[in-house]
Amino acid sequence: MTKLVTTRRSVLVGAGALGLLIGVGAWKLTQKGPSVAGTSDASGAFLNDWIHVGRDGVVTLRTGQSEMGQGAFTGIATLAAEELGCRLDQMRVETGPASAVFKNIAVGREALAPNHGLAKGPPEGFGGKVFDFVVEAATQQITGGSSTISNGFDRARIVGAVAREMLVGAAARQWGVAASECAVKDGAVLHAGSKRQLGFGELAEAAAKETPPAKVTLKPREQWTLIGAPKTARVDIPEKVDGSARYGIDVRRPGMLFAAIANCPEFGGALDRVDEAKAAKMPGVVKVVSLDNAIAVVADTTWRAKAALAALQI
Amino acid sequence: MTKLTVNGTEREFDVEPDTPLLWVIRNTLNLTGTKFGCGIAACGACTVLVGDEPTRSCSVQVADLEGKSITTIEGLSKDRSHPVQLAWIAEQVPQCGYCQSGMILAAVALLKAKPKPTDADIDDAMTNICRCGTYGRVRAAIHRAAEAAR
Repeated sequence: MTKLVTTRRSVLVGAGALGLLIGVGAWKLTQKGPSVAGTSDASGAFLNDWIHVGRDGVVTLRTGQSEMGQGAFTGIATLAAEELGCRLDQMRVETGPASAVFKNIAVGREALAPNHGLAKGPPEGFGGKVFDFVVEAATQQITGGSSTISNGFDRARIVGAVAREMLVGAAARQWGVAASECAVKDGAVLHAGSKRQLGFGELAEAAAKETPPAKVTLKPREQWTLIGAPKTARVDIPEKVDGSARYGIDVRRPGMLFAAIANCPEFGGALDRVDEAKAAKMPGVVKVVSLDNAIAVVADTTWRAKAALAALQI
Repeated sequence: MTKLTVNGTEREFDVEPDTPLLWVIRNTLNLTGTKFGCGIAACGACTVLVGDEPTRSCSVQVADLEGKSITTIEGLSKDRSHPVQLAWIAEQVPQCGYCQSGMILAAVALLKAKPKPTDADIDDAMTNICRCGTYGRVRAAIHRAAEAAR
């Protein structure tokens, strides 16, 4: 008898990984979204694919993780802010678009080699490089398996450090001083010698034009002020107390319609027949859509769709 | 046509009279802070204030509210400065946050009726359901808001 041992992580990704390994080439091409690094928009500039600095000084961190109340946004923002040199209340976090840069590497490592502690890092040497190449090809943009911090612990700090170096570089260039004489604090670059400072917001566009450093130095543990700090206020909470947090049900697109669906009440059942005459004439109804095992009414508002669905003779 | 005052502004709608208040708020007015949960007045995610009364908006028809004044989460304050919102942030109440608009409005109504509620008052009044299980913090935040208002 075969004994199967799986972790929750490997279950989450295992199914997908098996399917995805087959078509690696095509999958990588289609998933790799265009990079926004170095581009400006109406509100500021992207220093890389993760970090946007607004002219108002607000740093927006894009992550591959979803916030579901588990604190993922706060954890990732803490890691990036630690290296970036700003406070958590100067950061916003949003879920990034579908893109290879937001793939969850930790969950991929765990899925391909479960129970080896690999979520923390790949094996040393060439073997590790091959392993991570396979992981990167096979893994997905996914939130789960308690992987947010193990996936982001190095990456979010590196992303923050790269952005910091670009902000410092832009300030040093403007002042005509060496970058090594500059420091960062609370969302500003400081030059102690001349007592000058520039906010991240003022530096955003110039920083986006800086060449990203090939190497960065991360703070040693003793210098951390945000990571591990007690009573860190969650970054997602303010918008959850004024109704502005946007959930799936809140998404609105131009010309968007709403549907109400009746599923077949039994597994394996199929739609027999439906009399839609009355429903089709109800206000706001656009279309009645029959599926194999369900029927939906599409209308201009949710309530009109629901009311018409109730009027169907299924 | 139905006339309502929503968050201080008089509004008129041309909707079927049996339309639940929730869908007027979410679809007609596009105020999406008020959530759809169960649709049968059980969970409280859709709670708004009708006058000072906490009301499950999914189960009340607009025709029955003619001329009434409605407050949704968006109307509580312009800048998250309502004492209940401040207490909610201070106690770090929300997790996923889906039920919290309704939870907050139910708490506002409770504090209006009973400015210094006991734990038992809170348990009686707060019938909203939270799947994350934030009840302990909800209670602490209501006490905090009551304290701040004194």
